[in-house]
Amino acid sequence: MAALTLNDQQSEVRVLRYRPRLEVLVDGRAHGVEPLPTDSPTAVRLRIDGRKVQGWCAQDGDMVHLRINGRSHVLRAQALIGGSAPADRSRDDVCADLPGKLVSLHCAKGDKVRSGDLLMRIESMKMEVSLVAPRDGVIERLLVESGQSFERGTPLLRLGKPSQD
Amino acid sequence: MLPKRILIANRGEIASRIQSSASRLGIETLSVFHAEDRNAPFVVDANSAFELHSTSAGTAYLDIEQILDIAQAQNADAIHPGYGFLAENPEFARATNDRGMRFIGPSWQVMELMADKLRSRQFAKDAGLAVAPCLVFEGDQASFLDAAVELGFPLIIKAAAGGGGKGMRRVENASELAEKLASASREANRHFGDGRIYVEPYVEAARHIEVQVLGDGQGKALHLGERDCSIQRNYQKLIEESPAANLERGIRASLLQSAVKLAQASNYEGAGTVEFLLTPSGEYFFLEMNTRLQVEHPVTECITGLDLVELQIRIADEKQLPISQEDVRFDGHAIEMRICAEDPEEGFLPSTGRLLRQIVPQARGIRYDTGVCEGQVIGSSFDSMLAKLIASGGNRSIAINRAVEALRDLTLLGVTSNQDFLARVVAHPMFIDGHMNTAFLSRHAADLKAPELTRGEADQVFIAAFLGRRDSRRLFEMSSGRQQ
Repeated sequence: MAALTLNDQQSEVRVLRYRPRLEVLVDGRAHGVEPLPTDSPTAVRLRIDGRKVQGWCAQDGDMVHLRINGRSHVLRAQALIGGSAPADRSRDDVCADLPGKLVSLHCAKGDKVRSGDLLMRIESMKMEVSLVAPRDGVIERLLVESGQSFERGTPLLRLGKPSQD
Repeated sequence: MLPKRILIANRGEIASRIQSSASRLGIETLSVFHAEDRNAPFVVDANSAFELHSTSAGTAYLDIEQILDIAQAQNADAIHPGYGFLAENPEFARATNDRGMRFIGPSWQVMELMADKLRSRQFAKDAGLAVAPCLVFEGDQASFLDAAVELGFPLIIKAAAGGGGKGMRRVENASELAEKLASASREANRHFGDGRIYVEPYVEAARHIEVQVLGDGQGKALHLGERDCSIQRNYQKLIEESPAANLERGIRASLLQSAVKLAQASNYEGAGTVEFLLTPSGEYFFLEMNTRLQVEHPVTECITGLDLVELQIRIADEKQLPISQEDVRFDGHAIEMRICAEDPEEGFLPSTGRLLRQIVPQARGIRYDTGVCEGQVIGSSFDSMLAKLIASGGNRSIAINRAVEALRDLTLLGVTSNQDFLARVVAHPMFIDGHMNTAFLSRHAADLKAPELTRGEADQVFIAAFLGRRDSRRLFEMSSGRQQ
């Protein structure tokens, strides 16, 4: 059994039965699956509910990269043994969506910001992009300095709740 | 005599592209590389490869002294600069010549002229080309603001030393001008070491048409037709084609003639590209001349049957044009799509990762110029372009159909790419009808969004991912009854 997340939507997938024919459950919905022969370990060739689904699949850590029927998808896979919940991502840290370097800072600790306000300019792959406030709030802490490089997912600043006054 | 050994002062797909022409001509190639590129095809495939040592990956390929030291120590007799990095740096061309090696490109004086967008505009004007009105920012903000208001909004800020969309900003009104001038100037300074900027009126829905020229360095020049490069995002080209669709015969002739005139007037040597902006009303303006091979040169190769890298090498050697205008034949249509590590659903933000699979469609009329191989880590140090897919055929609609099929069959796993977005663009009715302009992607943004998956499609994805994972492989055997 596995929990697979695609575009923030998590589904539980497991095999219902192998014989007389393979049936797979997705969130309780049963689908008849007929695996078709392939000559590559990364090829996907299936018939799902009678429809041909073919393409390629590769795994990197817990990420599954898939291209089927002319479209690419990236899923996060979690084995459900032990039943761990996904990590809590609802904190107030504003994180980098892409790796890069801080070029200029447009806010300071204690600033009240509105959703959409420019917070910093970031350089990534030779492009300058803006980081804007995802919501109203107060800048509680700045976690990177001008010129500092960071990886994707690095917390850049902490955004507190908007003050009540 | 053709050079015996060429050092390629570049990386990625263009370095591989130059290698393939050179080796066909029996010329040895030397690669220089930063450690991050150690496993890239252009390093692995080079006759010999030398590591560049630098504080950051981005500056390695800009280190003139180090590159030329390697070239000299290894007895290279010519340098091919590719595009980007040092390709349009006159100092590099001059230093190459000073060390007794050939620079495959125009003279450093012509490069210096064309690298300065302000000087080159004046030169083009003097040569009789139409040039758009512009305003140069010289530090005095108050008077500049007044003049800008007079020019009329929207405006576009450009870098005098510009290229590749760097330092460009669209300005809607006077209130945002000051901030955008500062940020554009900063970006220009970072990329080109020259913060000079200027503004032009922004032409909505213009077309970007460019002409490929070849010159002998002594005033003779010819053209290899035009390319439409109007499909752009962030002022960078995404799809290019030749010939340009729906281009009035008279305008085409006059663009080609203007480009040749500029190449002749500047004693241009080698391959160059003259860029024009074509307004919806049919007016056109000279934008700039690129003094190097373009990213999109393959579309010209596909319809002329010529090898532009070979022509560059021959012209650098013979100082004359190996072909005449009458020899140039145009046959069919070609479209290039730039496959980039970026996410069109997230504002074209660059993406990174390890390339797990790269499966290239083998089909008629399909050319794939790649800079990456399976297993390679795509980082954030360099431009996001991974490869170029070029589809060609007897006419535009055949080329489009081949492009759609090839984009469907191309498989890149491990790094988010724009391939599905490109497929939606080339299959869009307005693209098929040839209504390209620089606003195309923003105007049709809603149509070009990835369609939502239906419940049934999503379930197919979940099942394929579930069964496609390594540890699920035995399911195939179990269910096919082989173990019974």
